[in-house]
Amino acid sequence: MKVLVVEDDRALGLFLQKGLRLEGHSVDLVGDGDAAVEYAIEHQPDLMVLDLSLPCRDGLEVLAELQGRFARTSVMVLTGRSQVEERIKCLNLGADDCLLKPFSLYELMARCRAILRRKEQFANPVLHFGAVEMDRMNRSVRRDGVEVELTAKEFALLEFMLRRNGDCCTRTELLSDVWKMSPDSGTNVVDVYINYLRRKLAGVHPDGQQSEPVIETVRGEGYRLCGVRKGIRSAPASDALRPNMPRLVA
Amino acid sequence: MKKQAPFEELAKQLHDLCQPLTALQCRLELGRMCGDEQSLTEAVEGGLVETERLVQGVETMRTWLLRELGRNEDKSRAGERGQ
Repeated sequence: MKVLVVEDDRALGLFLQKGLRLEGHSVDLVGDGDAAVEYAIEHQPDLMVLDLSLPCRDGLEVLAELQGRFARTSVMVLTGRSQVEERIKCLNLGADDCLLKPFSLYELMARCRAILRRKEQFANPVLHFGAVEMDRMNRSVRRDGVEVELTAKEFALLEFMLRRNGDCCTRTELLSDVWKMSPDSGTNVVDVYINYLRRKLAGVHPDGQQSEPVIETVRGEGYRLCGVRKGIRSAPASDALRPNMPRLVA
Repeated sequence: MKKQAPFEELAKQLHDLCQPLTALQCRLELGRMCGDEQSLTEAVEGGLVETERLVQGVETMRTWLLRELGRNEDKSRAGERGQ
């Protein structure tokens, strides 16, 4: 999942970013309200972890700005202010949950998992990226509109990669999430199944030419889907650090 | 309204303490989660930095509290003399 941490305390923001990355999320960090709104418009993260006390535009203003515009983005509010009225205000402005400082990183991570779990339950059953479309309701997969038969494991692997929306999936993540295996197990099952998927998803143009590959290798890391994401050209892995983005940490 | 002012100040100072306290807790927990030597060393080093911020916060609160207590004592003495 794509997560944005909005926290002006750089030290705290960095730990939150690191902690949420341990959960397998792709996490960016910005330090003020304006940057948060800008990021949300450009990237529409799955989850925003939002501190209330922020420079430029405070957390409540960010919530008000986002309200109703970004149904895709869930918001977890962090606050050091203990007034119940303020937490109610946040929830009424569209926040999914509030956590009072000081808090435990374990609790924050568990609450984020709960939000994302709920989100997943009500999510659109159809996932698509580039030429690939998956309908999780009727368990079907299509490449350029042509149905592709997948085994249960291949389906689970492709679903994980589609949910990443073009971000890199490491072998460790795939092994632990799809196969429930330890990264130390020394197996190459991920690479084998990626090859199965590549073969099955290798479409053929009507003129007989081979279609663009659907999965590319991120050397030393893992794999990612390639193609076009929601009208935007999918960025290469190295483009993850965008110098023009207002953020504390790239 | 005036009676509320010390409580408001106290609430503000407690709020300021929450930031380094959260950072300290998260930093230590992150070190434990990662578990490797480098993460644990970073957690201890960073924990000390956050502790320093906490100490400064406590010092600010203590100074403020002593000043308020002094004010209250002065007021009571003045009251006793008035009686």
